[in-house]
Amino acid sequence: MKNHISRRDWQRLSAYVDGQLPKNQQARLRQRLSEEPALQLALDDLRLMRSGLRELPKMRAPRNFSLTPEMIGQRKRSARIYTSFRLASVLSSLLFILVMFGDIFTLGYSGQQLSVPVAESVAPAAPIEEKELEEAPESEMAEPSFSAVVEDEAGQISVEKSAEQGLDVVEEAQEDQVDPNVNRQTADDELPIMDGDTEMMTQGEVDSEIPKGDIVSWRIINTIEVVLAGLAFATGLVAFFLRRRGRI
Amino acid sequence: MDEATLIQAARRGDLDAFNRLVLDYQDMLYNQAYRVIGEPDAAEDATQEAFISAFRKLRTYRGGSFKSWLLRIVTNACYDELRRRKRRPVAPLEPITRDGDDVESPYWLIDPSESPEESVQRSELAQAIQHCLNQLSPDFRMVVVLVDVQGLDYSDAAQIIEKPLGTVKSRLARARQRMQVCLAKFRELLPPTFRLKEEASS
Repeated sequence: MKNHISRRDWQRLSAYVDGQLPKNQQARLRQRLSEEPALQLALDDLRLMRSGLRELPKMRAPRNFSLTPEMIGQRKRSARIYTSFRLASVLSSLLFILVMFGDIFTLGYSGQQLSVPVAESVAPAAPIEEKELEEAPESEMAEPSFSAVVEDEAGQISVEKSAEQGLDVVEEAQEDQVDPNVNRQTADDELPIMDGDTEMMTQGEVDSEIPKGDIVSWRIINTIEVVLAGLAFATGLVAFFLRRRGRI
Repeated sequence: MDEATLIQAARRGDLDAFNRLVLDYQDMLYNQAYRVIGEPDAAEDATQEAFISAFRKLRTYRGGSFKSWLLRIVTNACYDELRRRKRRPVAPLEPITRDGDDVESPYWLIDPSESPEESVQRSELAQAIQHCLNQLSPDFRMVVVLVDVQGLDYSDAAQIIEKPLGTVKSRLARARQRMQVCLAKFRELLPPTFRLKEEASS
């Protein structure tokens, strides 16, 4: 079969046969069909071939393609398992991020809280030591204790006041001496009430006491973080392989 | 129950409702798969995969032509099958009788209303056309089968293969041109009117 039809003409004929050629181009093509026999012959051939294709026998299904519950159940079950693992992976990842950020945040807050009680316990020692140095040469005591300083001060106060107020001051001093634990705290001096047997805490003791509970909780948090990270990774990996297996 | 009701029921997980739709459309889908892939066993696999996929993806069906929606799914299944066969080419097995002879007319093509001679002739022409279809590239073949074999219009075909209308027109024209060149080799199988026109032109 000789065919000298250009590709563009063939496309126009193909669209014309299917009624897909724009109306303005249809008129032009009809005119050319009347003038060019080769073009008309190509159109006839095209129509015959198209009808041959349309008349191809319709294939009937060789068997029943109805679905069984097993066909759907297998896929559904595996889809459910895959979805569960994927969800577990996502949740584990989110929890891990939450715990990690919470850990970072509470670590900073705990650090601030730790420094305050240490400062409070250290601060009172300084003024007490200063007073000890001041009073030591006057009272001539080898190791002045806090109660001794209080008694000394009470004694000095009573001596100074007796010149001005007489017996009332002496009585006052005696009362104070009877009860050496009277709190002489002023607004500026917030010293804790301490017995003679009370020992001052050193910095090392403060450091070792307070963080122990925090160390334990930090270890627990770290363990949780590791567990969550491992869980997220493991479930994500299982979900990945399940999906991959489903594709094959 | 009408089709819309069956679809709604199937979307809720009613497998029986879906299987009624399968019975209505399995011939059309198998026909599409067979004409595109060119082999009955592979066409069966693609058809079954298409129906399983359709049941799973029923939630994505948003109305419109259910036929076109199913054809899109079987089109994708055919492409998957063709890609698989490209990676692992297999020698096509022709059906054989008990005596070991090739069956040139598969039983599902036999039309009891025509004479044996007509039946053979029609069968051989169909095989010639299928042979020429198999020579086309998958993209060209798909468009020819959708438009010329299934009788869809250009817009439906464009929707199914997810390509622009211009692409459908272009591919169809080129596919038809190549089909015509190929069919010229089987002149003796062509209908008499066709042959007379050819002789007049040569």
